[in-house]
Order: sequence, then C-alpha cells, then structure tokens
Amino acid sequence: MGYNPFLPTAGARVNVLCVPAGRVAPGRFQKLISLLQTAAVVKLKLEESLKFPEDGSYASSNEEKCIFYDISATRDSGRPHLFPLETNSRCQILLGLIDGERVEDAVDNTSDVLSDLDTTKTTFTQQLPPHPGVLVRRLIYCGKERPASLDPDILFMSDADSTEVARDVMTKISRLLMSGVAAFMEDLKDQPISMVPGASSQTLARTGNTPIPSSASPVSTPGKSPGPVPPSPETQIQSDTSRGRFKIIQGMYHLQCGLWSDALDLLSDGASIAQNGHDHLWHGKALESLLLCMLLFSWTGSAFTVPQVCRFLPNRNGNFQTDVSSTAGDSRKALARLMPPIVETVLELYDKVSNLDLGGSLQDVLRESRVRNVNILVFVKRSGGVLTRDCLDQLVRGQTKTQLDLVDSDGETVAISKAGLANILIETLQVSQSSNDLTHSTSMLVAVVSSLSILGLDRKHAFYLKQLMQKFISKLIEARKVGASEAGIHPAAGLPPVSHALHGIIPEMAIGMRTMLSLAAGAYGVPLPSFPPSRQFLLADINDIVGKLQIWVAEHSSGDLFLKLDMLRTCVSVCEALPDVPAGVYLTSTILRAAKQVITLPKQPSTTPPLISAEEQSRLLDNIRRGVSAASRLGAPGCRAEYWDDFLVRDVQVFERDDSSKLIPHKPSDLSVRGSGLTETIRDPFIYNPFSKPKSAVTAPVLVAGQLATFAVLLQNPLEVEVEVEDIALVTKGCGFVPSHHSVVLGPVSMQTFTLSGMPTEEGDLEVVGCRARIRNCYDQEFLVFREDWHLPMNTKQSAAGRVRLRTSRTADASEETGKLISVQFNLPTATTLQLKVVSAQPRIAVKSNTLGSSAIMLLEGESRVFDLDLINEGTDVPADFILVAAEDSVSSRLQEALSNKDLSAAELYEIQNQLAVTPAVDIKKKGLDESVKILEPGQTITYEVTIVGRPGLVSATVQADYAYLGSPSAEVKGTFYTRQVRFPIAITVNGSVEIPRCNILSVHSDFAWESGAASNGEEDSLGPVQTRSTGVSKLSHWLRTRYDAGECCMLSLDLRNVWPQPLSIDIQARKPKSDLTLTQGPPPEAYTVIETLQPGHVTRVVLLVPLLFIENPHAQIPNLEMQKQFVVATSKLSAEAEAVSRESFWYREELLKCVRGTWKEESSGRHGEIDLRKGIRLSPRMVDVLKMDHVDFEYILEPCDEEAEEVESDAYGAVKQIGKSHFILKSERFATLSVKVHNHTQDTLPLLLRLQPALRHQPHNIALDLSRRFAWSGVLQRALQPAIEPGGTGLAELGIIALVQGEYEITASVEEIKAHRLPRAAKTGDATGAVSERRIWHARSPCVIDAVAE
Amino acid sequence: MSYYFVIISPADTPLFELTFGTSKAGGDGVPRFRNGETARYMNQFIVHAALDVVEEVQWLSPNMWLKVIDNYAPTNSHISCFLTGTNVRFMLLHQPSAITTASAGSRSSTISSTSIPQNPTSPQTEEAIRQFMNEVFELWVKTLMNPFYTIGKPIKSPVFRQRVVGAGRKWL
Repeated sequence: MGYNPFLPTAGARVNVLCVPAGRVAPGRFQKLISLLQTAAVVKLKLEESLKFPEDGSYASSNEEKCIFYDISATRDSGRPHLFPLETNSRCQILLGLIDGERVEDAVDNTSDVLSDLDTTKTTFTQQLPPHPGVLVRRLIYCGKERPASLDPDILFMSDADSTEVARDVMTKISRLLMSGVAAFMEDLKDQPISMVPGASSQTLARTGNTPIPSSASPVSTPGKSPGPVPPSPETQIQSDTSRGRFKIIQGMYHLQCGLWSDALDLLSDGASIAQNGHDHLWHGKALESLLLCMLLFSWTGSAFTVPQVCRFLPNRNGNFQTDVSSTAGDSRKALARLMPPIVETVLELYDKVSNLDLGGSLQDVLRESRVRNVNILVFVKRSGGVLTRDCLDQLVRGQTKTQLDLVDSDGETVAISKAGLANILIETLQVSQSSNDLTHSTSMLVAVVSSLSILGLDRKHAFYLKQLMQKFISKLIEARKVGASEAGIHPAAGLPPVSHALHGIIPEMAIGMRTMLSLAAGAYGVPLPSFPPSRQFLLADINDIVGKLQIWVAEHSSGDLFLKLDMLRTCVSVCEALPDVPAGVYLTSTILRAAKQVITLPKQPSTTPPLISAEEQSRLLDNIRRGVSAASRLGAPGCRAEYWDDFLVRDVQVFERDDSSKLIPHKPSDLSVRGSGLTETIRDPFIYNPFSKPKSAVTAPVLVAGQLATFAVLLQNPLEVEVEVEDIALVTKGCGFVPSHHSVVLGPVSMQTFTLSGMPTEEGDLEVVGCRARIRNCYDQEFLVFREDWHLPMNTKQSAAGRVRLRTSRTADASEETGKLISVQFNLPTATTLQLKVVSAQPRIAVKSNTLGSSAIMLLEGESRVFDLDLINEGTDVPADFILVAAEDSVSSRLQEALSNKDLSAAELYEIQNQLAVTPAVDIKKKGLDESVKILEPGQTITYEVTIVGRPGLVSATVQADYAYLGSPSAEVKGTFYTRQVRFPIAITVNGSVEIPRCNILSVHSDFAWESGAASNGEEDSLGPVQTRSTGVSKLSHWLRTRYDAGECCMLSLDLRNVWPQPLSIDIQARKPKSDLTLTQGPPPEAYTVIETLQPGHVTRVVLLVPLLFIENPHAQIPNLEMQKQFVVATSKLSAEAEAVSRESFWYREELLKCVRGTWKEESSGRHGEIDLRKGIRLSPRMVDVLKMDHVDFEYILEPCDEEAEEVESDAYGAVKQIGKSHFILKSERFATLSVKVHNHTQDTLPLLLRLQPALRHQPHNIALDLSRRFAWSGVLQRALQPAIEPGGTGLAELGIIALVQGEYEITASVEEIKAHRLPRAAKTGDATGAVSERRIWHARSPCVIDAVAE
Repeated sequence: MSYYFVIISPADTPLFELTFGTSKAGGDGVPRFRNGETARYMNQFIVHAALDVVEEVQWLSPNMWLKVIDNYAPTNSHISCFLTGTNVRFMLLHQPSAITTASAGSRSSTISSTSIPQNPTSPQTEEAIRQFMNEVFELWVKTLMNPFYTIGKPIKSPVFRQRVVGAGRKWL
C-alpha cells in the first residue's frame, strides 16, 4: 500500500520499498512482497539480542514491543519530502528482490549465477540513487536454496511459502535497521536542524513570530548517502532548538524501531525544549509522536507515565494531573482523557504555522497531518467513542473494518464531537483546494471522504464523494486528451483502441473503479448491485426481478430521488471518461430503471411520467447505443445493456380466431350419447346433450399440434421514448413448441397488444412462461408475465427518527447486508403463466347445403321444408371418427326454458314436453350412409336430411355438428377429449296460416230424427265424406239416422280463421280412435272429413262428427315424457276433485286429438301443411262430459209379453212402440218385458248389482214413487247380474212390467259393483284421486222412458 | 440574499421545495445563486449533506428551531433548520448575493452589517428566519390536517406554496 499519510499510526511505521532487482515476473514479484508482508509486524521480544551496538542502555526490551513495517512496491515520488520532519514519508529500507528461480533457470553453472548477481547488485546500486532517510539497502535473493557462494550482503529468502521465512528475513532487516538508525543518529548529532527542510533561510527569516535560533543557519539539504551530511561549519553551534529537534527526530526513530519508552523520554524532552523555544511546528510534531507512543503503549497493555509536557498543555485547563500510573488500565484512562486535548493542541500548533509557505509543500504536509490527527479521534469515534482494546487494535494496525456491534465495556470514553471533527476535516479540505499540487487536493478529498464515512456522516460523505467523482471526470478527460495527443490522435476522433498491453490492467482497474462507483451511488441511497458480467442473454428469474424491485423500492421509499439520479449520472460520466463501457451502459440502464415512477403501467392512462425528461431519456438511450457500438472496439465485445423494465410483458392470451377452430373440452362420459356408428343425431330432447350447449365457464384454450397458434401479448413501455424490440418470441415450458420471431416497436408510455405466434409440435401440456425479447442494444432477455398491477405500498407510519441505511455491500458478506436493505415491506409481484393443453391433430369439417339456396326461409305455420346438409372433411390427413349432429332452434330453447318452471301443472308440462319431443321444429335424419362407416376420411362427405317445420316463434335454427378424431373406440377414451363444432345457422320467418279461435263439443241427441224399427237397414250407409255445407242438416240427420252407432257420436265444432292473406283450403278428418297407431300414415280408412276453403280473414265454423270416447281410467297420472325423473311426488296444490277434473280433461283431449287431424293447402302456391289442432282444442269439463263414454252402458229393450207376440206382429202398432233410443210407448194394462242390457266397456270382468227404479216422471219425489196403483212389475228391482260380465260383454236383466194407468213413467237403472274395485296403481302413486277404493256405481245416462197410453 | 427552502421527510425525501430571493431592502424576490446553472442541484446536495449535522444537533437542544447548523464555504451558503415533532425538517439555505458585496462599497457596508439580505449570520437575520419558520410550521400543520394529503408524500397544494412565498416575502 505504501506510505499512507492519513493513517493514524503513519508516524510509527517503517517505510519499506521493494524493487525488483534483475528480471522478475510481475506475478512472482507480487507474491514475494505479499510473503514479506505477512511478517510486517516484528515482535521485539523475539529480538532480545537486538541492541544498539554502541549503547546497551537502550536495550531494556523485555516488554512486548513491535516494529511495524510498511512493505510495498509503490513509491509516491510526487509527494513532498520533508526530511527529517517526516522521517518515513519516503522509503527507509530499500530491498531489491532477486528472483532466484529466474537466475537459476537462465544460467547453468554457479559461477555464472554469481556473476549475474554481481551485475544485478551493481545495477541496483546505480539505478536507485540514495536519498536522505534511506537507512538500509539490501538485496534479497529469493530462491529454492541458497547459492553456495552468495555475497554475504545479499539476504536469502527461501521460496517456501511460510511466515517463518519471512519473519526470519524481517528480523535480519530489523537488525540492520537498528544499526542504520544508530549510524544515522551519529551523523545527525550536533548538527543544526532547520525548522523546515528544503526551505530557504530568507523565507524563514520572514516568519518573525517563530524565533529560530541561529537564524542564519543554512538549510541542511541532504544530498549524500546514507544520511544527510550536515554542513560542517554549523556542527559546533548547535542551539537548544536544534538539540530539541534532534531529540524529537531521535525519538521518532526510536518510536519506529519499537523502543517506545526511550522514544517517550526523548520526545517529551524534545517537546518541552520546543515549547520553551516556541518552535510550534516541532512541538506539534513531538506531541503527535508522543500521542502515538502512548497509544502503542496502551495497545500492548503496558503501563506508562504520561510525560509532563502532555499534562500541561498550552491553552488548556491544567487538569490533566494524572499521576504516574502504574497499571495499564490507569494509563489508558489517562490517555482517553488526554487524546482530544492533545489532538487539539497539535492542530492549534500547526495552525500557528499555517501562514508559513516554504516552498509550498509544508502546508500540504501539515494538512495531511491534521487529517491524520483527526483520524485518530475518528477511529475512536467509530468504536462508539470508547477507547477499547479493539479500538486500539484497529488504530494501530490500521484496519478499517467496522465492528459497530462489538461493545467492549472495558473502555474509556473519549469525548469527541462528530460535527466538530467533520468541520475540521472540511475546513482542511477547503484550504487544500488552494494547494499548488494537484494530486494533493485530490488525495485530501479522498482522505476526508473516507474519514467522513468512518464517522458515520453519510450524507456529508456522499456530498464530497460526489465532488470527488466530478473531479475524476474532468481529470480523466484531461488525461485522455493528453494521451491522445501523445498517441497522435485527435481526442475527438473517438476512443482509442485498446492495445494488448492494456488488456491485462484494465479489468482490475475497472473493478476498483466499479467498486468505487457503487459505493458512490450507495452513498446517495442507490443500492447498486454488483456489476454483472457480460452475458449472452438473461434468464428470467423471479428472485432476480424481486431483487431489482427491492432496489427500486429502496430508491423510491426514502431519500431524494433527484439527487440519486444525479449521482448516477455522475457515475455514468465517470464510466464514459474511463472508458468503462459495460459499467457505463449498465449504469445508464439503472438510471432509466430508477426514473420510472410506476412499475406496472395501470390499464387506464395515468399521469406519472418518468422523473427524467423525454429528451434525457432519448439521450440516455443514445448513450447506450453509442456505448454498445463502441464496446467491441474497447475490449468489451458483446456488451449490451440490461433492459430496464422487467415488467415488459403484462399479459399473454391465446388469440382465438374463429369459432370453428375452437376446441371444446369434454369428459369421456360425454361419449355415452354416441352410438356405435360414426355419426349420430340427437333425437331425445330430454337427454342431456353435452355437445349442444356452449360451456358458459371460461375454459382453458386448447391448441392443436401442428397448427399455428396465435397469442395476444400485452407489452408495456413506461418510458416516453419508443422502444424497439428487435426480436420477440414466446417462451414456453412443457411440450414442444416452435415460436415464431417477431419484431415490434413499442410506443411511448403505452400498453400495446401484439400478436405473436408459434406452433406446438406435439401433444401434451404447454405452459407459456413469458417472452424472450431482444430490445435494441440490450441483452437477449426473458420476461415473465406480470398480469396484476403492482403498486408501492403506502407507508402510513414513518419512523420519525433514524435513517434507513441503503447500501449494498461490496464485500463477501453480501447476504447479511442485503437482508437489511429492505425496510419497506411489500407484496412481491407474482408471475403468471398461461397453461395450455395441446391435443393431437384434429380434423376440420365444413358444412354446407346444396339444396337450400339461401340460409333464410319463410314458412307458414305447420308447413315443413326439407333440405340436404353435407358435412365434408376438409382436412388433408386427419379423419374424423366422431361426429355428432344436433339441432338448436329458438322454439325448443324457449320451451326448454319454460320446462324449468316448477309451477307448471302436469298437463301443461306434458303439453310442452310433447311439443319438444313429438313435434320438433327441426328434425335431422341421416341420408344414404352406410352404418358400417366408422371414419370420415379426408375429403369424404356425409349427407343429412333436415326438416324444418314452421312453428310459431321459430326465428332461427342451427344445425351443429361436433366432431373429433379420437383415435380409439369411445370406451377407451380416457381423460378429457376435445371436439370442434361446425354450425349451420338458418334464419326462419314463420307466418300464421290457420287459427282455431274457438272449439266446442256438442252431443248428438240420440232421439234426433229417430225412425222406428227400420233404422238399421238403410241402403245408403255411405261411409264417404259428407259435405255438410252442400247437403244441409237434413242430410246429416239422415245420415245419422242410418248409423247404427249414431248414439255413440258427438259433434266437434271448430271455428277456423285464415290469417294468411291467400285463401286456404282445409281438410279436417275425424276417425275412430282404434286406428290411432296409423294416424300419421295416409288418410285413415274410415274417417269423417270436412273440406272447406277459408277466405282470408274469415272465420268459418266446421262441424265434425267424432265418436264418443271411452277411457277406462281417466284419472290416471298424467305422464311425464322426461324419463329422467324417476320419483314423482305429486306437487300439485289442487284439491283432489280439481285434480281429477284436470286429469279427465287431459286424457279425453289426448284421445280426441288422436282422432282428428287437419291439413291446409294454398292452392295458388301449392304450399301445404298441418293444422295445429292441438293448439286449438281445449276441453272444458262440460265438453268432457259430452265426449266421454261410461264404463258401463245401459240399453233398454221393451217388448210385449210372449203371448202377445203374434199380436204385435200382426199389429204394427202393437202394445209397445219404440220412439227413441230409450223411449217407448206402451199401451196401458198390457204386459211387457223390459230387458236391460248392461254393456261392459272395461277391461275387467265386472260382477254387478243392477237396480231398477220405476217412477213417475215429472213429479216430486214422494209422488213419483207412489206407484202402487199405477205401475206394477214382476220380479225384484235389485238383483245381481249373473254371471259377471266379461270385458266387452253384455249382461241382461229382464223385468216384467205393466202400466196400470196411462201416464208417463220412467225406469232408472244403475249398477253397483258387488266387490270393491281396487285401482291397480292407487297405492303406488299415492295419488289423491286413485286412493279412493270403494264400490263404484254407474247410473244410466238416460232412464228408460215409457209413455203409457190408453189402448 | 437568495433562499432555498425545502421540507424533508424523515425518510429524506423532499416534500416541498421553493427557491426565492430576498424582498427586503429593495430586493425583487428573484433568487440569484452564485453557482448559477447548477444551483438547483447544488443547493439540494448541500442541504442533503447538512442533514447529517441536523441529526447530531437535534439531540443537543430541546428547541425545534436549531438556528444555523451548517454552512458551505465555497458558495458562502448557510443552512438553518427547523425540526418538527415528527422529525420533518425545514431546511433553509441562505446565500448572500455576491454582487452586493462586490459592488456595494463602503456606503452600504454599514447597512449590510445588520440587514437581513446582506448578513446571513446577524441576529436580525436569525430572528427573521425563526419567524419565517414558525409561520411555515403553522401552514404545514394545516396542510397535515387536510384529509386529502398523505403523510410522506410531496405537498402539491398551490395554496401552501403561495402562503410560503408570502411568508418569505414577509420575513426574508
């Protein structure tokens, strides 16, 4: 390190200079020096034999004392040398190192070696002319072994890398030093010593206040070896002053040689002489050395006596009356109390000579001394202002490591004011600006800066460090100009190319500079991480990003950002002046990073521009550009900047172009809807079709292997300048992916979306991690995706006192320090990734229709349209082995919606379900495809036949086909599979055709146009259609008359309205219910048909004859077509009666609708369709009554008695005449037999009780039954019908009757079950209506009416 | 005299900055710093460096008004400090103008010895700065009361600025 004038103990060190003698490799030379440096402290105790040869009294060295050597290879020739005021500022021991290896290698035999050594020795002596103060000059031979005949003057140092060897050598040198000092003392003795060496007597004379004895004493200019040879005439007239000075010099030498107690005596003597003689300079020097001496004593722990001269300091309160101390502790206490006043006194003494300017360099030296003295206190202050053992150790050894946490209670407090010390330092510094020596002020600046730092005055330290930096810039530029002119280049011609010689030096120098730069930046609170090495490309590492973010937070959470930026700018300027391009580029990038006010740009624009202006930003970018382009010329090829925004990529999304290429995920269980064949159409609307509805939840996008996928990437640029991204591509993990490369330009302060693409090459899981981008002049860098905004947390509670120390460490204990770096807690940003699934190649199917011209059609209600739909596999290599076709339309979706309503009654529910299931608006059928085809090969086509039926509310319909290539049978599909969907939408307009505003059911009275007897054998039993309009009522009545079953009919009256503006002809048919199965196939064999033409807007009533309907169990549960529901709990809130009525109405309506069917046709255009009778026909309970046929039917036959049979035959108008179905005329007093036929319509065998009740008609009850003299019968009125009536069979009961008088009678009939009927499903359903289990009674619909007339 | 006034948060972040010149003795209130172009940054740096002294001095005195705590000889700048209870520091850098001292001559030298714009260390100046600081402190407390102001963030209120300028005109 060389002589450091600012080291507190600089005065107690022996300056050793090592120079290479002969040829020594630099590395070896350094190694040898460092070997010697291991023995830099030589313990005197080991050297008890050491004595001053001529004066044994000095060798009282049984104490532990040391000689400190300052071994180095550097020589500061620029420093002023004020010998003997400063004894050790130049080298005192000159060592020439001979590389033994080299010598041995070069020369073979020993004689040559010796001759070689001789030459070396001569050159050593000649080349380095001696200067005053050099006490020892020696050569050291460093080799494996000592050459046999080595010159005794040459010391030998073994090559073995051990401290022992070095110590041995140093001990020898110490011995030489002792003798050298003694010889020098001998020379100097009795010679006048001028106050300031090198100063002329004239200037000395001018300083009147400094009385110098023998004022005419010439300057002792040392010129000869080994010490100054004083001019002879003065030898005799040595004054007191000179004697004092000599003692001081002697004391200083003794101090260096480790003879401290002697030094203490000599120095105190000298000091008192100087004090008396007002020799301020030397007095100060003596006090300084005394302080050092006491420090050393204190360090070794030995006791010492505080000299008298220190106890009575001038201008001090004389309270340092510490007596002679016997113990080390006491002496240390005394020292602690003495230190500040001694330092102050020294400074004051130096101040007194501050206007002495002898040759200019004295003041420089004095300023150095001032700083050195202050540094003693600074070191103590650093240890907490307590003089401890550790503190002393640091002071003496000159270590600068900080151990703030080590508190040694065993110390003595020293009263020091931080600000006071700082003021002294700063004042000294400011005075030093006036120095003639340029290096002096710089070195003073460095010293003051470091002292301020040690003091803990970080901000003052920072301030002066910045000044130092600025000084560096100007000096460096100046140096470059000088260098350029020397090299013959114009300085503006650009940076000179680096020669090979510089290659070895620059990196080291740069590292030192960089350390200083990061220290300087850290001083203002910019925690610069260590300078990164040049890299090819930067991997994205979340820890790294968080680290950088922490730095940003640290920068922004405290301190003045403008100052920090300015400091960074200064650092950049230093780097540019050096030139250190990589560091410059790195720092520029750091400025840009620090200038950002927000980390993530918010989605909505805000007003937080960077802290530096746009011009400066572009200038910095330009700097980077220039630096990068110059880098390769300056020996840093491949150097680029780090991009300043780690949050470049804000979002990555898959960009889905169209629906047809979108993949929809499915579970394997979804395949259950699929049959064995290749394609399948969904028929049952109630079975959940997993393919029909688009998933509402956002599903992860899926990519297809081998297909180009596009991604939307959101990039941010927080700066106000454009950022050129030369190359950007996606970074993925997982399965193979080939990203394509793009180049984009990001606008200023913006978030922009770009599309990047890439192609997955295999199936599997793909994770998009981020982007890899190369911004112009920046490293290739990976960026993670940060989707969430990140904000600096607001620190609501600030610590009032104390300051956050922001400094990254530059030493090994980095981890420890960075832990303290962040005092602000914040949420770490989280990088998001895009998880994708890549599936194997999928087919692509297109849909089109050849037969449907346009995709919009118009239909009338009930009209249907059929067209063909083709599915074509458009792919070239991938077949489809799964195709599922389904339809969607606006009607069914509305109906489905209605189904979800829980309040619907069962009948309404059935109605809706029926519409969905039985009459869908869209019907798809496969056409002409072989079932065995399992795979739709590329280029193949399947055709479907699609039927669309016009239904009110049908606006749109879609045929959709889901398809995929599964590659395996559906049972073997495991895991999610994906399908694509093609859709064929059709827009439909449906117009009304025929409406049924009203309907009614009317009974046909069975006696209507009743003709006697011969009714059944009419010839004109035409079964053909009857034109009601044309033939009129008479024909109907005629026809009715001719029908044997006319009583089993009723009339359905329908009001029809044509809402279409064209006349429509309609055709409504009604038939027997038996043939319901063949309803849809052609006209039924036996039907009543009404044909009518409806004029537009007119309401026309048509009447249809429909058979009475028999339903065995009209109270059965209304079925639910949706078979999913297995457990049906009656939820109806209706009463049992109302429920029964609604069920009855439901079943009869269903039955009725099976019998009728209507179509319409527009004659002009040929349109035709069905009339939706279901919509028009609603049954009221009254209508149901008319329509229904009872389980049991009664028929009356009244016949005259057998004996009168012939009579009847002969007489057409016999005793009995039937005038209606159950209306008879009976002559009074004639016997007749009433046969009651009971028809069983049910499916059960009914054992029945028949009850007949004759009564008078039109009479009140009591009179009506009074028949005793009016009507008589033979037999019982109540009887069991034997045998039980078979299903469909007839039971017959006969009763002989006679009307005794004329009158109107009626006989009512009723039957009752003998056994209670159990409804088969009553218990199971828990049905309200079916739960009633009792004997059923049926009454005859009409009684048998008998008019008794007179004979 | 030219002034640079800054309010510094406990985290050393400047919350409010203002430069102004003297209005006394015919001053026009325009700052004329010696270091010219670099004044803005230099002043900031000088004041920042003075914070070290504040940290030491603040424990020695119970007062909020710490008087002149530091100076920077190269530009003849003096720094006064006023400390609030939350360790927010009001720093005032005052710099007597170079022109007056250079050209004033003997006539004004008697005036300048005591007048505020000339002598930065006179008791009158100190008193004036103390008054100024007290007034700013009052304004600052009012600003803190504002629910829309976040503690630790720069003060952007134009009213505050206007009033500080007013206080400067009144006292300095």
